[in-house]
Amino acid sequence: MIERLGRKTVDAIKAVGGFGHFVGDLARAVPDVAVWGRLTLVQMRRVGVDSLPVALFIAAFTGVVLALQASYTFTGTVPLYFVGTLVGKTMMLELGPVLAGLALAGRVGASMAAELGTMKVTEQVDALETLAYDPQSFLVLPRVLAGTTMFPVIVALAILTGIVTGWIASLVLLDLSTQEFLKGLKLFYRFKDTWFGLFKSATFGCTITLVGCVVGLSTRGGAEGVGRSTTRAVVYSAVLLLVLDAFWALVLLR
Amino acid sequence: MIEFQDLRKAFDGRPVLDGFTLRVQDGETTVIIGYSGTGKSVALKHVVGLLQPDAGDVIVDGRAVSTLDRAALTALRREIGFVFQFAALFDSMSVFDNVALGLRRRDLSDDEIAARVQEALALVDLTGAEERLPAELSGGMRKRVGIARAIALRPRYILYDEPTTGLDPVTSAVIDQLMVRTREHLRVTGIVVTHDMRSAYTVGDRIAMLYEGKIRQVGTVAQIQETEDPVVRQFIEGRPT
Amino acid sequence: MKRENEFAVGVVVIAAFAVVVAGALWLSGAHLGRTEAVYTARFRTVGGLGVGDPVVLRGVRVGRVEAIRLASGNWVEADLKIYAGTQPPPRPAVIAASASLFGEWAASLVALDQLPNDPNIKQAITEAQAAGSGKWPGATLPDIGQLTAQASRIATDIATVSSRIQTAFDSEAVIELRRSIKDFGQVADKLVRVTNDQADVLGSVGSNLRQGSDVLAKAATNFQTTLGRVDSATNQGQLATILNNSSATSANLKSASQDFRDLLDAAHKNQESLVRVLVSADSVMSRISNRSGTLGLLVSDSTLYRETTLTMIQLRQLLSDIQANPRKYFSFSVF
Repeated sequence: MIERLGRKTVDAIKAVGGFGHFVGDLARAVPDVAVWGRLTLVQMRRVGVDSLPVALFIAAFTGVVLALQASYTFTGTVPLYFVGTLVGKTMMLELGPVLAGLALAGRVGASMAAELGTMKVTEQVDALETLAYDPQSFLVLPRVLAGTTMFPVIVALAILTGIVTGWIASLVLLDLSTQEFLKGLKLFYRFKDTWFGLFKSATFGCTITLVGCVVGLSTRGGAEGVGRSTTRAVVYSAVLLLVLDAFWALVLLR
Repeated sequence: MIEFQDLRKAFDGRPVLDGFTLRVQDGETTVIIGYSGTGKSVALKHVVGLLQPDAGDVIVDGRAVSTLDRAALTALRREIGFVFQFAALFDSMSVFDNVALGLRRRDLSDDEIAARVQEALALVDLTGAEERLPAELSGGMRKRVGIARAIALRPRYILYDEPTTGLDPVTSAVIDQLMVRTREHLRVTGIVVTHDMRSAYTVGDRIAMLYEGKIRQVGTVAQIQETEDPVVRQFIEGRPT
Repeated sequence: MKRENEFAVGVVVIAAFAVVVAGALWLSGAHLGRTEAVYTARFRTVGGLGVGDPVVLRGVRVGRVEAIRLASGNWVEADLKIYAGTQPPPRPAVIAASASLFGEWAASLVALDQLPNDPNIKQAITEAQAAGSGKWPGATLPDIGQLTAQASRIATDIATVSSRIQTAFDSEAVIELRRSIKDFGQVADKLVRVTNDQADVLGSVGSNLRQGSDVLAKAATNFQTTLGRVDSATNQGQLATILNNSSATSANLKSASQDFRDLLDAAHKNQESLVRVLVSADSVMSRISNRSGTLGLLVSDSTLYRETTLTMIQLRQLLSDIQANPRKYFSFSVF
């Protein structure tokens, strides 16, 4: 029993050490711009541009729901222009980054884990190494960089979408004027609202892609292993994302 | 010269290589034969540093592989072409890009790269397949692209991991011919891991039998064919017991 | 393929960048004008004023609060950024006040000679001005929470006073009472007239307003009835009747003050009626105050006298506050 506990602890410490090693290798791959530069653009396209429809779709409906729920809660107690405040604040601070992050954890994290997992089990990663490429700079760095840079981009557009649909919903479904919605939106706005959400989403992008790559590259055992890795990548990145979300709220919003 | 010196490697406590020692002379092709799962491929991956030995080492031209730093290992890998069991082509790249990938790591102009790719593809009879994707190729063609990718780098050594596994006899024979042609054209030293005896006899100058983590017997093709060792005899004759 | 990547990524990144920059600027109300002038105002306290709050001139936004810092001599200095093209009043003063119930504050620019008629503000401005060095003098108005708390305190005091009246009525007071009642009667008449006028004027404004006016009318009428009864009793020299009636009278007075409290409640719901009611009430109280001797003789209990006076002083302070700055105080919109 104690022996098993001890072994688990050692395994956990080893896993942390392995991750640290991984990040160290990644940092060492940074000077290799010639390799990752061009590939990063491809990944930015895949991570950023191709994920845009999903993220915007989610944000659009979130905005509508937020507006309706806010009016449901506020009616009779709080002036309705606070619908604008709630939609804006919630989209910028929380739902924009987190919902887009969770959606992309599924889309991006899973696809990276599956892709790298397949490359691993079919020896493509080994082949890369024998061709004198560092898998970190060829595979991991472009993905992590693309995730870190493109997530805020996606989230910024998602926030805009959410606020616009929230505004349209207020206009069409609630008895709220544009002026009132905008008044509420601007009422308690601070620039921190903007950078907090975007900074958070950059860390989400980094986390999701890093987890996808680490899990993908540690895949073992054929197609089944790839399947396992894909699931693990999604679960790990979703959990980490929420933990990170709470962490930033604790550190930056107090 | 590649020397395996008392190489030991275990996976999850199960020893796979247990004192593997073998010397591969320059200019000759050595075939390592043995049962599936006895660690032939594992031995091969130690040569390019894809695996770290538990004990012992592989010495390539005086360099102990496991002790090399990153830059030295990269330099070593540039001298060695590795042909993977299932070719390990990059799915998202065309045949041309697959072959050119290794060349792009060197200071070559685009024209030189294109010329070298054409040359390598011509050697494996795949001229004209440049723009196809790996998924559109048959197993034999993929293997040939894999070989082209290795020889395009003009390596001093080529390591073949089960080059004919999973191929029909005719295609296998084509690959065998290709390996012979490669040796003659490029004067490269080769190690071939296989359990296909016909292939071993065709391409090998010497044959080594790996059994229970060690070399059971090493010899020329003729010596192996006439061996008295019952284990080796059983393997080369393919008898069930 | 590669060109396509570059284009798509570029479009998305530029779009997002534009959204972030434009959105942040727009939401924070930044003014992309030409040069903006920064002035410094000096306060004893800035109350709830914060960085980024609007600076308004006659109700129009003309800038924002750029910075707030503590300064030597127990002062607080606020930098006010005024947009280009705005002409501040020649001798400006700054009044920080809450703009709504939800904690938004604004700094209003007013000309020094057009200050609201409030002794506290005037004193604060004069003090800040005396500190010199070219900084704009500033003062802070209490926010609506303090005001309503004071109003409810006054209502309680009035209730106390009227309950004391019961014990205060004795025969010696009657003669003085007659005189004062005449004044009271006039006041009440005026009150009713004012109320009716206002009710007519405001008839179309809304039910809240009418409710406020109705309550006021009721209060005034009750008051008048009470006084009339007392008046007629003393006219006929029927002291006993007065004494008999005194408990009913004080009960009526009590209910009148209760009505006044209801009125205040109603007024909470409608700031304009509150202002008008209190303005009217002020004129009543002014008259009482002018004849404080009369009331003092009337009321043999000196405690009662003091409390009445105190109540009136408090009410007058409140009234002057509100009367002086009705727009500053009540520019919020109540839901």
